[in-house]
Amino acid sequence: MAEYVFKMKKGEIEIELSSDDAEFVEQQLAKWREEILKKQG
Amino acid sequence: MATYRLTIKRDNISVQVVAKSGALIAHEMDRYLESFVNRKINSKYTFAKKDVSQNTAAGQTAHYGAQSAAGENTSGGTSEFYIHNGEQINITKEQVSTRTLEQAAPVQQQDIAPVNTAPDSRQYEQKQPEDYLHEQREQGAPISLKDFLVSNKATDVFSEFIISAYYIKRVLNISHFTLKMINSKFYPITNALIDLSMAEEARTRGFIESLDEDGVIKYTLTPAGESYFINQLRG
Repeated sequence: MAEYVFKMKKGEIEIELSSDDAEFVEQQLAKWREEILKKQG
Repeated sequence: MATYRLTIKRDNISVQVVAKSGALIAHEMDRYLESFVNRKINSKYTFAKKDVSQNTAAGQTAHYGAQSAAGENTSGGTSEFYIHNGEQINITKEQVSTRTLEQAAPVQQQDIAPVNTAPDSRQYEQKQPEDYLHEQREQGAPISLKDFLVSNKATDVFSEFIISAYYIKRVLNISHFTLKMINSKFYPITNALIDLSMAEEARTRGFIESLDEDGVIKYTLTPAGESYFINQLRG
């Protein structure tokens, strides 16, 4: 079984999401990407 | 059944939430997303796929506990363990090696945009993972500190302090508190601060005990303090 890991790091803070539910991780990743691009745009 | 794991690390403290429910993890992720993005983040993120079969159950725990040290982790140990609504929350203290700190420093300088200086972002900077745990306890508490103070016989700031200490210990089930932690709840309600002299008075009277934990002074209500609350202050 595969496990999917999404890791984000800013300075001293690190957030890591991991799951064997690929769809869930994909959704979270998309949400984070969208929010970050929206804020930085 | 799928397993979901969220790990938040800062300095040498790590908070890990393990759940069988994706909704819980998604909710927690959303909270961090808001705080993170509001800091004008210039993030560095990775998406990786790995073979779980290489890890035993015990190996996975060790693996996740060790990642903030970039593979350099040493003798980390679990300091607290809770069961909350059937989910696991681990708080693990780690010893981060010097090499890890040296590696982390350039990342901070090169990849990170100037930090937003708005008040909310400053508050986020100061928040520790245990603060989020305390917030969760407060949200799940059957009564707020404000209502708890009102429903008991507080006559002065000192008695309010003892009532608050009882609330933290018996309602929130948090065994120890710092002055910073209790004041963060106490001040917005009472507009008064609990200072060292008041804590010392309570300690002298045997109502609280103090201990030094890694240079941080923490307090806990003693049985005598609980008796004082029950016999003198309880409404």
